[in-house]
Amino acid sequence: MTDPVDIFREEALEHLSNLEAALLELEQAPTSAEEIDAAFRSMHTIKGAAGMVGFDHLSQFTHHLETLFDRVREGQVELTAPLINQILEARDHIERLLDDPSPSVELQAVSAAQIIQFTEVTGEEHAGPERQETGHASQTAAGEARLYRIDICPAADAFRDGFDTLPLLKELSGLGEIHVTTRLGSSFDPRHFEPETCVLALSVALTTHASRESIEDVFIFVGDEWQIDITAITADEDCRLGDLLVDQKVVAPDALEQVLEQQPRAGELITAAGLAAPETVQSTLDEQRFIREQQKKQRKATPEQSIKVPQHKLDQLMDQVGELVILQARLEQLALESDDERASSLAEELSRLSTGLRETTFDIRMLPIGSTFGRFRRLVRDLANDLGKEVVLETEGAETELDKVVIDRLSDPLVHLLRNSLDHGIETPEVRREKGKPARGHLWLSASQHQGQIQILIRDDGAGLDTERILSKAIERGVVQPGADLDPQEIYQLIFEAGFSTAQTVSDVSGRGVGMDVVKRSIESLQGRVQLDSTLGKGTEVCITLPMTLAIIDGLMTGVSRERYVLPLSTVEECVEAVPETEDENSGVRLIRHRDALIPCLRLRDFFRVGGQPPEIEQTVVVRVGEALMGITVDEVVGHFQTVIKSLGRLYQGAGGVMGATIMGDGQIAMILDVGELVEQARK
Amino acid sequence: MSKKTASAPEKWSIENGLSIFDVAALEAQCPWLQSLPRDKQLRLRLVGIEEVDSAGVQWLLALKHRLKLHGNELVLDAEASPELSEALLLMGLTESLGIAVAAEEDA
Amino acid sequence: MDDQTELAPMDAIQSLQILSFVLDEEWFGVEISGIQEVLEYRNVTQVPRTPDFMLGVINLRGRVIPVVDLRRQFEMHLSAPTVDTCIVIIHVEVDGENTPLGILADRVHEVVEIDTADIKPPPRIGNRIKTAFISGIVRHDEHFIILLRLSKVFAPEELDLVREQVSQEEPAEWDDV
Repeated sequence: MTDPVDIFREEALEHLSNLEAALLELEQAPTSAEEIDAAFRSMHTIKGAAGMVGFDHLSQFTHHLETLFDRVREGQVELTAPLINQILEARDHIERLLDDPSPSVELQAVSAAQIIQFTEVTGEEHAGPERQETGHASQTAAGEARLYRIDICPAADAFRDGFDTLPLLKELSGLGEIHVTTRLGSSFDPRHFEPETCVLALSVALTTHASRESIEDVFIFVGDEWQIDITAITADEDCRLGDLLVDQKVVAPDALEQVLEQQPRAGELITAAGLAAPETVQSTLDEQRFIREQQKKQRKATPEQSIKVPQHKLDQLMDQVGELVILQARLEQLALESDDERASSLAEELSRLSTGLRETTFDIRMLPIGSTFGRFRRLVRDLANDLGKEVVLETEGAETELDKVVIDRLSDPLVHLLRNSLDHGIETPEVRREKGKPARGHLWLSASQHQGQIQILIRDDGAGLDTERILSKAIERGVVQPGADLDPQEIYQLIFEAGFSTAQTVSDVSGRGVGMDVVKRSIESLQGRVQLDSTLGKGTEVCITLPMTLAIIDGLMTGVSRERYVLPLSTVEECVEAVPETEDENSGVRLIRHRDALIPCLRLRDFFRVGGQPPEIEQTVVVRVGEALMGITVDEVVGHFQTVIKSLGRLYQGAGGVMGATIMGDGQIAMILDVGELVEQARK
Repeated sequence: MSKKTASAPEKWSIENGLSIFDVAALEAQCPWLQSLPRDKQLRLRLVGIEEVDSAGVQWLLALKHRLKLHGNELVLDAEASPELSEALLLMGLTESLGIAVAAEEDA
Repeated sequence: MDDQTELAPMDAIQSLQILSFVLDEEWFGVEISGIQEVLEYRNVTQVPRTPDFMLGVINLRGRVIPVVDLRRQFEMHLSAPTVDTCIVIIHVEVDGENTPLGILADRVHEVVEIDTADIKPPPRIGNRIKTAFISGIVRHDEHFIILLRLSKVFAPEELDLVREQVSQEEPAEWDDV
């Protein structure tokens, strides 16, 4: 379940039962600070979460309860039995409000009545229904599409000055759904028509989520002489044909009234009376129809429609797209070999199509990582309570999008890391105070995207890792030989070693312990990488780097002898031919000159022990991982391909330098290089 | 711009362009504007229109309007031109100026 | 992960169907229920920097399937592929995950029906291969067929052992220009 609204509902229900439990306790002991806190927190959390998922009315409602508990906490309000009953009623009301982000008028009336009761108790400035309503209305205005009418009357010289209305209309249609009425304006004189003078008048009905400012921005470059009128039309405003005609200055108001008094069909009458040309009436009727339709939509207040699809169908789609991409590669190759014009144009067409399909499919699978953050907040809160610690979790980058499969499989390792931070990282309030730190610990969880990769940071301001103790522990457990000379980074890496942590909990080592090897393995199975940094006494930071997707990448195909290797294109800086090379005096590492710097260079033929003889001129692909640059020397660079990543399976887990395989057009298999791993190797 | 004869024909064609660069010439050459016919169905063929702008569309609207004043009905016969279709669609004129315009209005 | 994947409980089932194949002139058998198909030998793409025992991967109708050479694991004589060489695709639990993999065989014989009563425990000594890999031995015609316990062959401990060997024999041989 990853729909944020579903998660919100589930969590809200949990909070409601917390509230209920607290209230029942409070009935017995009305001053229990602990229970009052619990009640306050549950309301506070629902309020915040409701606001985030668009349950604005609910958020407003719970705000009053939050205030109430705040006053109770401060001793300003006494929790009497009748008040507790009222709150219990409010609790049931909240449960009903969870059904629909825009509750019915009846439910809103119930809210208003209850709010009045609570504000009487709290003495909070009377947030009566009126303020409530306006607050609500402005909230919905931001979320729902609005209908605007835009009247455009270009300057007479517009055409001669090089303006055209079509680009403007195109831009408006980019903002939302548009319906345009174009007619000859009042300045049109059939007897003296100058074709280069603009006499057009346009009316646009635009349904959009965009702000008025962004509509105004469309007209930013037109001349001052243009008349642009932007009017917001509300759903309640009754828009009759007559009004529109008058609004559009097609018919004078009083003339219209006369006609309307004679009733039957306004359209016919206005035409018959010669007030407006039939076309004008027709187009206005069209516009009216459009506005009606839009208003109907607006009334339904469905901000965005979405469909729930079972995961396996998405997986199936992805698999099929993958197969299609492979097939397309084969067709491309066939077309190339057969040198058939028609075949290559077909292959090209298919390639375009499958690229689009691939992107759409990916997009469907991308979800904001924030959908899991909510759960973490809960976990941290609960766990901190259990451990008697005060911890705040701050999250950032909830909107960062990741493949759903990655998000799902990331959840456990993240829970593990957060748990570790809470358990071993952040100290108890007493200890923290002794150390001169704020009693309340901080946990940061942030997600961001750069260079086609997702970076997730988990940082705490806890005790940090004690390298000496880790080292001695590692020696004790036989993970490291005694006397090994390791730098802090290498020591931190030790806690990811299987032998280090699985044996038993090492909570006596200040820092992490349980199953960090499992975390590392899970991240690596997602083609990701974990790094850890720590300052003793200050805190620890774990950095996870992940690819955005696990299914298809853009790859650069290279060859060594008969073997083919694919490098993720996102890591490739450039390809160079026959570069001068030297050797590092100490390590013997091969170095090449790249833009005035010497960078390490690895010859794939040697590193992978590929048989055969290298060609006279080798190619070197310069790759970048983070800040590190490295050369990878191959026999030849074949070209750019969309590469469907196939897992090598359990047997090959941990195969160094390879992150998967792909099937090429001819049915042969090419290895996909784990460039990050290769760079890592190069550092050693 | 072809098929120009002395007595106003009931068919006339525009080729290639329908933009600010063409409208002055179209206005000058259109046979129906000189020898105004009456109560005729006039068919305007639009061939290979690649360039359209709102000046061109305005000219079509103005032509239709002026012919109508003399009881003529202007029918557009257009070869498929994505540019023209898009322009008419954007300006909301697909029905009133579109190909095979309905003879009678709804209202 | 237990013996049931290769051998059904003996008291319940009287006979077993096994596929018999030859590795370095020795006969082996695997219960057929885990076997997906037998392929002719085809080019195996090497996965770099992995133990020799893991030959590489093949493309089986769009899936990438690992292929192993048990002869290396059993320290047997290696001969070049011949027309008789086959790849037996079989499902094995590796690290708790049902994994299809290919086993290289010098020759594949036939599906043999054997009586469970005829299965003898592996002799404790005198084997070329680890006793743990063998679930039993059965005589069929003039041959002894060694019934393999594949879950043990691909047990994590064994795989770790093999992987360790590779990391030892390859001391970060970082370029030798």
